[in-house]
Amino acid sequence: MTSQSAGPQTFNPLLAYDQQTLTVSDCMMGHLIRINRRTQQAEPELARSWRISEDGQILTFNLRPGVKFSDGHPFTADDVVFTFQVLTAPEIDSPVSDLFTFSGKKVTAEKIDDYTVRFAFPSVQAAVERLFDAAPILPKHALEQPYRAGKFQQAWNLGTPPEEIPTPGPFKLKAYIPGQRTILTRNANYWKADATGNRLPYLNEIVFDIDPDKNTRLLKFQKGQTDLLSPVSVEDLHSLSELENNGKIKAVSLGPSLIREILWFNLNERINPNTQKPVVDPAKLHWFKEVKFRQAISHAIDRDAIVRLVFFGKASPLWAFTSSGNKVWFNPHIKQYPYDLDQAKRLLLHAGFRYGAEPGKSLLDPEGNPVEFTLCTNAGNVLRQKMSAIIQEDLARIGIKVGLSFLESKALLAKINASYDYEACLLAIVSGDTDPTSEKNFLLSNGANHWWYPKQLTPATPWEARIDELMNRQAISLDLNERKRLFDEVQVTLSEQLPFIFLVSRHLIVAAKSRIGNLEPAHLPDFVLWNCDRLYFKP
Amino acid sequence: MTTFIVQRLLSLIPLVLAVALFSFVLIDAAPGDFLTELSLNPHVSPETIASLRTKYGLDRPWYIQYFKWVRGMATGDFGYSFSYNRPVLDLIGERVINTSLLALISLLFALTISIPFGVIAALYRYKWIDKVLCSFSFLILSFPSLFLSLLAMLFAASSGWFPIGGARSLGYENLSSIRKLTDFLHHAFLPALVLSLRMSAIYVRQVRVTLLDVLSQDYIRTARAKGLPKRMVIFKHGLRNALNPLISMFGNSLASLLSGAFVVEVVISWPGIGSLTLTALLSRDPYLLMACLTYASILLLGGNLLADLLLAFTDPRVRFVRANP
Repeated sequence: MTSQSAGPQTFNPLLAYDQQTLTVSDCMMGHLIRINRRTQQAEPELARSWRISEDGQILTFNLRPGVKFSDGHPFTADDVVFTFQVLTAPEIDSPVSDLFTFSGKKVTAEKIDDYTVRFAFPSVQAAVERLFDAAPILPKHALEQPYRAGKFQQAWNLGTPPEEIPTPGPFKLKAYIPGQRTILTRNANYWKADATGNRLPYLNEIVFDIDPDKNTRLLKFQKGQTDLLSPVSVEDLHSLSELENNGKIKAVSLGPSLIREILWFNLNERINPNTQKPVVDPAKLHWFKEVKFRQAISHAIDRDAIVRLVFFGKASPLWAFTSSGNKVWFNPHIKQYPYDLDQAKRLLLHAGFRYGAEPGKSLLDPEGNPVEFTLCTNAGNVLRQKMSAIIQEDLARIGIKVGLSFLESKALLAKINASYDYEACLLAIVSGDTDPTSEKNFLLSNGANHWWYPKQLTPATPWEARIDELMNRQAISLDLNERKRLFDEVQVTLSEQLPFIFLVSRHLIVAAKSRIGNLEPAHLPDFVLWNCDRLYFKP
Repeated sequence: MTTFIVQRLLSLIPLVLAVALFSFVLIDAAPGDFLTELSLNPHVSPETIASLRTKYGLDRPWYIQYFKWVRGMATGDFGYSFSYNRPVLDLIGERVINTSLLALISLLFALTISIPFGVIAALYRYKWIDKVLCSFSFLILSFPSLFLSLLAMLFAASSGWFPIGGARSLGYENLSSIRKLTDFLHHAFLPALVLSLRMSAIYVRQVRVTLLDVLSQDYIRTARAKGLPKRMVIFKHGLRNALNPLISMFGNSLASLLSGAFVVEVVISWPGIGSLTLTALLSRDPYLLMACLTYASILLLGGNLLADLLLAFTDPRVRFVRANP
């Protein structure tokens, strides 16, 4: 039994947009390949094995025979082909479909026999097998009819009777009580068994309560009404320590998570179509584009203070694009910017900035304008608000005046992605997978989340062109060592140019009752329930 | 009388239309829309978002969306929730019942708490009990409902007498109907109490003031002079007349109960319309939000109508006559 901040929005896994919906759906669904959350490597699931052709464009899956959906219907190649037919259909607009689209062309699936499916990719792609972790396999016998009738969007919504939702995963839906809870029950037809031949899953039921308020979730866990609390926010940790000391619960810290807090300046050179003025004040844009300015800022931020004061020690300073939570791709050999105000000032003076004569000693640019900017972040996120206050103080020490602006998250995103009307922003990057290909939206200069200057037609700087080239090369290379070398260079370039100033990475902490066995929390979601088929209660 | 009711019900239509008009304008003016957050998902391309935006009609100006909504409403179609992929009407049905029941229970609480205490305060004016009651109601009024809700949750957790949040226990479906009712009331007690506390605090003061006012009237002195027992005078002549302003206040409290319910429902995980409105607002799900707001306007007008009818029932001087010039 656990509790969620919001309930699932649908039981249709292809239309799941948010993590709450995915968490529930992943306990019920099956995938051809699953990324082991612990090792971050791809492992066979509904596919027994797979083979990638020499040219990297054909992927052949050998399906697991004898697998049944929860209603007893056998799983075959038809289900796989149907799933990809729906997934890539333009009228569905599934959030998964873009993963299987390469420069406008879609992946095609072809049935060879009942237990063999061949996928043809329009171009060579590295690590294609990892994509299948995001593609839940649908039962053709249950969903073909609504799909043909054009009603796939409404199929498997929250009002659908549970018996109409056959699933191949460890659990199936038992009941959904609007706004209150989702109850999953054991799928007796689940194919996995443990080493001694016992059928999985061990648990009979998983109950997800819906508790929008964070304090209520904490209270329920403290009182033992729920068995899991994941993730635990740093400010709640101390209120769990008593329970931890008398052995009732276990709080596990996994170290730096995949959430990376960053600060960046708006380097956008566009003109606002409504006002015909540049989106960023040209004088300020001039500072922001100066790499020494960005490096000086990085030197001036006391990351240890952020870790100590904001995260109570449960975070680590971050210097690179990946955090050490990423097992394969983390690169520690990059340029670091330890807290050093003198070095920061030296860099600024080098770049032509100077200090005013008046007692406040504010920093002036070569034209004599005082250096000031507004840093925005999302309102309601206490940690980020505290961080921006620390940054404000730190930068005041090198004579830069920072204004703070806390915006509602949708308003902030509209600024970052559409109107580009801001100066600097503090936010976090979270990736869907540990593989660099899933970061291309951030790193490619034409990417929509290339936040400092999104959707460029041609790269604005030589180093962005270089990153584009490296990212595109790693995306089509089939040699892991070569890819690693290319992405390492991307990370080195980022750490030198600092379009994103990396700040800290909070630790991922989960808590569970000590009675829960096989608890193997991991960095990729769902942090705790990813191995829900093996969790059990110790007697 | 019937004409009056019909008139009042008809006046609901322009009100709902106006509320919706304002809401559409405001939602449009707020930056971002339902799909904005999707752009954070590194797996979803801008083309897909654009295509979804067209499909949902979010690329159209607000007045087109508004007229589309009005046309739907005319045919009984409340629209479609984007986030839940379901017709709005399916979603709000049970939520409306939960919130209405919660409001009803807290109203009962408020009346049973406030009338006796109000009477006591009035009868023992300036005595210590009056002073205690008045300061206590001040105290309650100065507490934000968020704080009261959190206190209630802490109380539930530390005493173990009440469930921590939710409206129904696990396994509710298998209970007998009597057990279902007690289970529901057990869950509803704390949120209803929190909701009613503020209202009781206002009511106590109201009852006290009007009762004092009424008791100083001539007819009360007359009744006393005639030799009627004090108890009879206070309850039959005094209180009955003192309740009229309370009934008028009741009309507005239904709507204010709903706004209080926003906070209480979120903190106590009560699956009602308040928490749904918040979800709809945060995700900018326009049709779902409209349905919630329509419900709120109906509650406001319905409450006022009910209050007027009750007033006519208790006060023989109030009659619904067509005003003829």
